[in-house]
Amino acid sequence: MTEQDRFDAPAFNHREPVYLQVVRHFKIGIATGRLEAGQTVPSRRELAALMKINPNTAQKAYKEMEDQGLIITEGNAKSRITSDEKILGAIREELITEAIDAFLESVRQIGVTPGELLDRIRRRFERQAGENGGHSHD
Amino acid sequence: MIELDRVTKKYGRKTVLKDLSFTAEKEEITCLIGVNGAGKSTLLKAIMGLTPIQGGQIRIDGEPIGRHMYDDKIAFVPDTLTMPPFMTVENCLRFMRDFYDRWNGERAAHLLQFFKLNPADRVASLSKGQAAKLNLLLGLALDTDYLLLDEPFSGIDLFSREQIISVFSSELVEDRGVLMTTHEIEDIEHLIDKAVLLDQGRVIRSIRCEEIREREGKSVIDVMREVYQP
Amino acid sequence: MKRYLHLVIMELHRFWKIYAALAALTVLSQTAGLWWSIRTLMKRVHWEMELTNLSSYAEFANQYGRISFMSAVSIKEPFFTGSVAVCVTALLLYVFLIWYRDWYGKNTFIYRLLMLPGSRLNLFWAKLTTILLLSWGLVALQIVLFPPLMAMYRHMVPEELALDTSVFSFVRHHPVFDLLMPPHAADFLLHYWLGITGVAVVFTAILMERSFRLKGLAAGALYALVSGLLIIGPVSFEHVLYPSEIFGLTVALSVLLFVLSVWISGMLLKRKISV
Repeated sequence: MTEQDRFDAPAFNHREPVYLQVVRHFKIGIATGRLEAGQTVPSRRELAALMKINPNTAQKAYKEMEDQGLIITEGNAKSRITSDEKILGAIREELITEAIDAFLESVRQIGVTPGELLDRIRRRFERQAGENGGHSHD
Repeated sequence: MIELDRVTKKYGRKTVLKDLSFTAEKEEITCLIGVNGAGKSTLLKAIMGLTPIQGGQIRIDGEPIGRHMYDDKIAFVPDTLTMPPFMTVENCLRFMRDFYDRWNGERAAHLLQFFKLNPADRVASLSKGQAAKLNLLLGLALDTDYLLLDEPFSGIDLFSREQIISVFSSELVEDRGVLMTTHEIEDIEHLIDKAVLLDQGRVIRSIRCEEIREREGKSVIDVMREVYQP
Repeated sequence: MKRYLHLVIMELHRFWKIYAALAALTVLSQTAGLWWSIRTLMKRVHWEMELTNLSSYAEFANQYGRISFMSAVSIKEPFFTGSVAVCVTALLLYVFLIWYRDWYGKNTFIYRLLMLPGSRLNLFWAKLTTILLLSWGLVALQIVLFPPLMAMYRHMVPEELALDTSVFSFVRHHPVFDLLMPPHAADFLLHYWLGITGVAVVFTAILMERSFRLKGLAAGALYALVSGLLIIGPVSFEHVLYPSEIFGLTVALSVLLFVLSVWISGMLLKRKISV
């Protein structure tokens, strides 16, 4: 996987602060394994070029990530993604919760009972796993 | 910082800029937004000393513009390539090198390659996209603190535009203050730090983009709609 | 200084094609013109000789006089001084175009010129210098051209009919060449000094127009008119003043006008010019 692949992002939503979208992109990367714990991150200048953003935005994103503990900077060395299991775990939790909240928000209006919901989810999940499993043998 | 302090400009009897004030900070990308004829180009020309103003003051880092600033303080990329048609690309670069002490030949060569421009081509034979890229090169290769750009994307094909946009994410603008005008805000909204909305020669709103997104969940285009089509 | 020189070189370079054409025109037109002139002349001589039954050129010369270079040239006059007229007109036009081409060329080069570091007056000086050098270049060409032309004359006109004239004398007596390249140093300097002042005045008028458009055009035209009158003025007082006084006045007024023009132009370029 090239640097470009690691940091490639979908188009930005202009109604949400760009720097927060960058932070989320990192979190997703960490949760999916695209970005590994302890891995060095590009400089703010490099990140700007990779993600096609303003260097100031890259700066802001990194600061936010440092504040949240996602990134560790030691002295003059390049910053690294945290290896702290607690934080990594929290990221995963956060993303899952966000996804669930978004999902629940979208089905709330339709009105389904929790039981029905969970059942549907499990069946859907299994069917998709089956399809993917089948395809992965081709 | 580029400061406009109650600037007024008239063309004959028509007042194009009325008591206009705003600032553009160094190390930030500021975008002037307004409909055609709102005076954006005139404003940039006035900052650059290419047309006189009748009222107010324009200051760059505290001082009014003077010709000593053209070398190291401020560069301007107008909306068309301002080089004679008979010159070759190579000639243009040599021209800049001859006249400017702070011409960065290395960066110029690098940009020449990046933009895939042929040094032997005559200015007259360049396509619109190529001319725009050369124009941009001539401004970027000067080691100035500030860069003014007038409609850098206007009428450019998609790929040339992408190339030009990528410049704004690079170190080429990192240490500079950039002030630009454009119509095509959608392509670059995520890149700008500050948007100054003009209407009929006045500043009607000046917004810090990330703040508006954070506080109000609005994009710059949303604000533009509010302001220009209430 | 370095910037000024670069500008002069650039200005000269942008005109070279037209300049080469003017030079070629001059050479061809004058050579061909003179050749055709003398041939026509000699035909008439032979015709005349037949008519009046003269048997030798010497007799012809006795009867009708010799044929000077001046008269040889004037038979087909348009070809000789015509080329000079074309060159002069071209340069006079260029006094205006050297500025206006920067605004109305396909890529308004004036932006680039006004954004150059250093004094904007360098633009003024460079363009003025260019016009001067272009003029002197053509003068030099003409000077270089006379000897071969005279050689051609001596070759084509029989010895008995030819009249030995020096280039100096020819130029002195020819109204056009005496104006453009007077053989005396003092006259030459005076003519070209007045020429330079004239160009400076026109440049100032152009810059007024470029700064204030219509109002500037009016102001510029007025400025040029008054300046013109001031320069020609002293000469018209030849019944009232001594020649040396006229000369002194002319020089003094032209110096004044020159300095004034430079000052106004500098101020306009710095503060009022508009793209």
